[in-house]
Amino acid sequence: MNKNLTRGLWRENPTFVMLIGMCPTLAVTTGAINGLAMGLATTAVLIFSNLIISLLRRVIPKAVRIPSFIVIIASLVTVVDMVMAAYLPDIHRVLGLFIPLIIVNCIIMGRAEAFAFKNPPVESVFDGLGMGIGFTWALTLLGSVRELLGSGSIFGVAVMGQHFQPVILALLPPGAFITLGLIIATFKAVELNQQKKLAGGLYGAERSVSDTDKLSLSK
Amino acid sequence: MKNTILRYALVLTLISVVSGLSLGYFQGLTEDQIAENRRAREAAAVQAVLGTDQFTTREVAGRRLFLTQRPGETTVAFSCSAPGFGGSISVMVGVNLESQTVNSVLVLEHTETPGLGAKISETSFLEQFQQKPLADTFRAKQDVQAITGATISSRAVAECVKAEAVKVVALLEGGGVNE
Repeated sequence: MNKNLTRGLWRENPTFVMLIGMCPTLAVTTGAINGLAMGLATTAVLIFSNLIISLLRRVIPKAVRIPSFIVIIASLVTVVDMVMAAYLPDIHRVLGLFIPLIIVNCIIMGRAEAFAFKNPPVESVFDGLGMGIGFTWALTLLGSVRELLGSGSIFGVAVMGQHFQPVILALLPPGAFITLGLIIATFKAVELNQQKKLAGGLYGAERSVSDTDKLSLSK
Repeated sequence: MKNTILRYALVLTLISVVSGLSLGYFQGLTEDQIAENRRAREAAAVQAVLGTDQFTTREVAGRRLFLTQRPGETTVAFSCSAPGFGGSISVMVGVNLESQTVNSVLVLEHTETPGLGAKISETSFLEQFQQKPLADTFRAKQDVQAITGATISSRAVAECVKAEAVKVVALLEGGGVNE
């Protein structure tokens, strides 16, 4: 599979590994549907912003790249906002304020700066798609866990039975942090487990080139 | 040096112009549909609280009122909004002018916490307003059954229904609706 596509899914997952774009992640994930819709809207913006910025990477001078990115991203988000308001009014009403906030989601700026501005269009589209899917599944998982604990349902379907006492905390802002922390801990445990299994083998060589490693080394 | 500055300005101007033009294009493409969605939602809400799709719209003192008249019975629908826990809550209210009771209440928009305040749009909360006399106090936890853990949201709905209903009834009785 395309390396640019798979990067965002797990190894450099924006939410669980890089911990960027936390504002929408924590704010909208009170239910699985919200998480999914927010993820898909962000993915749409991310693909197009990566494509446009990659196409213009030789036109935009380095000194004015940030304002250029902001204008391009803000316009794309406004278009997504209007299209959703027109054709998906129900989802648009649920997400409401959070759609315009995609503009300041640092995943989009981050991918523009770190990838699209330095790479050709096709790779950038794959990178945007991969990061978008990574963001979407992370938000959907977080939303599902919070919805299951807080409302006893998943995607609006009650699954916990009548005697379930909802943990309302999971739906409130602190619950977002707690649930995210628990999921990241699980994520890390799985990763460490894999590392142990592969210790001394192929893994060491592959690991040394990953971006996350460079990041942790530089800290 | 001068050339570089000019180039920066030119690139930024071009990007902004193209962005502006495409925003204009999409606005034209979607605005009719967005307005249509809003109208449809409003009409559906009015129909739900009045119980009929035969109503006339009137503008009274800056308020949009939806009136339906049957022999010996005039019902008026109007919307109102109040600050809730997570932002503004807007509701559509139907009031029977003869019996001075609430016909029914429907939540149009809210940004309350899902699983808590969001329950204000559920029938189990809203049905208690049906046939409720306007003379009642509409106080949450006393006169109105509040949602557990969402007193602020419940209070916002109850108080906004009462306050706006009293104003609208006074307006209509002062101006005379059956002239």
